[in-house]
Amino acid sequence: MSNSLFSRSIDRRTILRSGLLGVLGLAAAPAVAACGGGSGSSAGGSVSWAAWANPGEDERYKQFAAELGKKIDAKVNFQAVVGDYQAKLLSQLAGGSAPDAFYVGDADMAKMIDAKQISDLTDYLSRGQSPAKLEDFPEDLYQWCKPADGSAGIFGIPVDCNPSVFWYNKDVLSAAGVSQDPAQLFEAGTWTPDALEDLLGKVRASGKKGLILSNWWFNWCTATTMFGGQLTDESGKLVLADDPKAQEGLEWLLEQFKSGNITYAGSLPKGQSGDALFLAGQLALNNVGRWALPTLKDVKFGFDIVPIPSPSGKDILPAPVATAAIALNAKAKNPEKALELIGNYVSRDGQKFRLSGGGNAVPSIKGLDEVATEGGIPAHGQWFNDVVAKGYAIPRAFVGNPKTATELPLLVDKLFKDSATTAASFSSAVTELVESGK
Amino acid sequence: MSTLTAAPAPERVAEPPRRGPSRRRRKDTIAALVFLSPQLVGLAAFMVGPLVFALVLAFSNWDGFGAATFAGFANFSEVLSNPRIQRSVVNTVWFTVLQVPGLMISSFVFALLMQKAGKMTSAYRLCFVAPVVTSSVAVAAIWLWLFNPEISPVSSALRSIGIQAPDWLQDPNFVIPAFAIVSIWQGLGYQLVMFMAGLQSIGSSYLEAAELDGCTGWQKLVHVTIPLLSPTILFLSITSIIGSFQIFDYIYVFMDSNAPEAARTIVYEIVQIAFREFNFGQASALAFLLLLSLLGVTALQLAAQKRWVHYAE
Repeated sequence: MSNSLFSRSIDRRTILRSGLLGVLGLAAAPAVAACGGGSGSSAGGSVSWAAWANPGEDERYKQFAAELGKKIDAKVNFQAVVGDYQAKLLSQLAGGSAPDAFYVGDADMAKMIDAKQISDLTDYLSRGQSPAKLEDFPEDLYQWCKPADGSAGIFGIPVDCNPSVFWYNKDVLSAAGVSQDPAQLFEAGTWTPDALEDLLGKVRASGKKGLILSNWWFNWCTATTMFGGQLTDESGKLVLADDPKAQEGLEWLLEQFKSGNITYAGSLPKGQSGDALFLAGQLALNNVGRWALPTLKDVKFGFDIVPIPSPSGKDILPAPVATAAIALNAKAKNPEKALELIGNYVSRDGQKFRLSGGGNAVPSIKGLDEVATEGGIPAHGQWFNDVVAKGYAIPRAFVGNPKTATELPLLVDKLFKDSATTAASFSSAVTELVESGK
Repeated sequence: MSTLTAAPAPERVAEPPRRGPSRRRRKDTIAALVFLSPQLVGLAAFMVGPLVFALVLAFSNWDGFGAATFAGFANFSEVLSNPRIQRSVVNTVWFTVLQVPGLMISSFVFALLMQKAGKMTSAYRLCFVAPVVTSSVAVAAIWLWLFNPEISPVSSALRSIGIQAPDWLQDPNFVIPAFAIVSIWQGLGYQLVMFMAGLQSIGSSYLEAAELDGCTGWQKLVHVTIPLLSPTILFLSITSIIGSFQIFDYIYVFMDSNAPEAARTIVYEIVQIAFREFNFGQASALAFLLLLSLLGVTALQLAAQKRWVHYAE
């Protein structure tokens, strides 16, 4: 045993020497790690951003990072977050290791602002050198990026968006005896709620599903404006319960649920939502955004989109628009470059780079209509842009308080499953929840 | 008091110094600590540390950012009085009631059948164990399709014979049984292997003796096999109950962060409250109450085992 590892006497000097080497090793670790992923340094240092991304987006974002790095003379790193984005981001923020900029979902923005985790972008967006200005974006797309208490500041910029439209399966409609498809009806100025109801009735009679809606605000809020009603007033206050047209829309929706024209999909975001049935040729209309496009490119059936119907039959009414924002980490290591990253990311050039070539969203910035109409798929892609121009992102009333944001879908689910629910009881319950969260 | 008189102390014989063994013991201890240190550091960093931190958080108001403030028992009272959490507790207990006996009985039955499978035993075992080594996310994705009332082959088959399959994940009465079915299907392989090992360890002499005494097959099962399997049953019941109280992954894959009240369980609520509502204090209080409940249930099981668990010599 004399030559074993533990038989050697360990004197104080040896311990101190080992400890010193260990400390040096630990101290050098971050520097070594930082060097490991890089391929040389840039004069402007490095800057990073994080987002959720599917494999296609991940590839595109990395290309964007490489291009942007050349432009802003910095090493730009993209962190794709797979899985529970919010939990991972929170852990990074708590540990002080969050990237310089990151995506923020609509339900988290108010808390991020309140906790001072993200910085006000107003100053940067008004500067001359910013490649994107606030006025370049439709006003109703970024209201949720303002503080919930109504104070000044803009803490995030929508990176892109997805308007609520109906995708329809031409083959299912044709098999159900629908002679004019929704786009033709819209162009003829007869795309009204009655026309939609008539279409849904025919599809139901043919044994297929007409339309599936969930408890997500993006789905059910379409009904509140379909008859010309308002969900919120200009100050962002929920007026659902006081607006007769909004009530009419909700009443119509509840009637469609009862008749079976529209199926309530509950709270299933995956697999059992309309997407699977639409692809399987079992569903006529699917109320989703442009994100459906990549999966539809190879299908055998004909498809197109149409806006939510209107009383006039030819107008595009305000409709929900899903969006996420990019925000500046309040503790960004390189805030100037991070601002440049954000500005370029949401600029026309940035959005065009990210969304062209089969992207799954619509630009949130004005003047990029060609992205949504690219390749003529779907045939009426321009309507995406038209809906975005008039649409609205999630009301601040729904996401001003994290508890309200999580409880609203639960409440809506419960109300839609209760056969005794009326438009009035629905509206008052939703309003009460929103008010209780203030 | 003479009896208490101290006897004269024996003369101490001066012992030669025995430095060898004590030095060796010390070296062995150091060696053991060095070998154990990676595990101990991991245990301290990832188990004990978070546990203590969670306990501190349970008595704090903390939103995940900035400083925490002392909350006393407010988080506990909030958690105990929240109807949404009460519902999730009921759902969790209902899941446990369905899943634990369902899993143990089916595993035991299949293990008994496998005893008679002959050369096919390995093939059957592979089939049963395959779901165990499949990730819960993949399992949930398959079942999401099987539970879909519109396109599920199971629903279609039932419809063809005149039975209307329930809308498993939408119907508040069926969603928890649906989770239990998936969980039983996935957990079957593990418990099956454990029961098979237990059955194989029962000495044939016990069964032969029972046979000589004229026992029927059923009597041998009830009076010999099950009592001798009782240590395995105890172990599986403890681990199953703990596992069933922690159900989260299926729900998260099935429903994402948007599960209806009828489908929410305790751990699902903990994640929601912490990471969606930014209320780490309440989430920790709920987690701590879950820990106490599980400790209580396990203690009861261990206390009761003296009455029914038989350890063969």
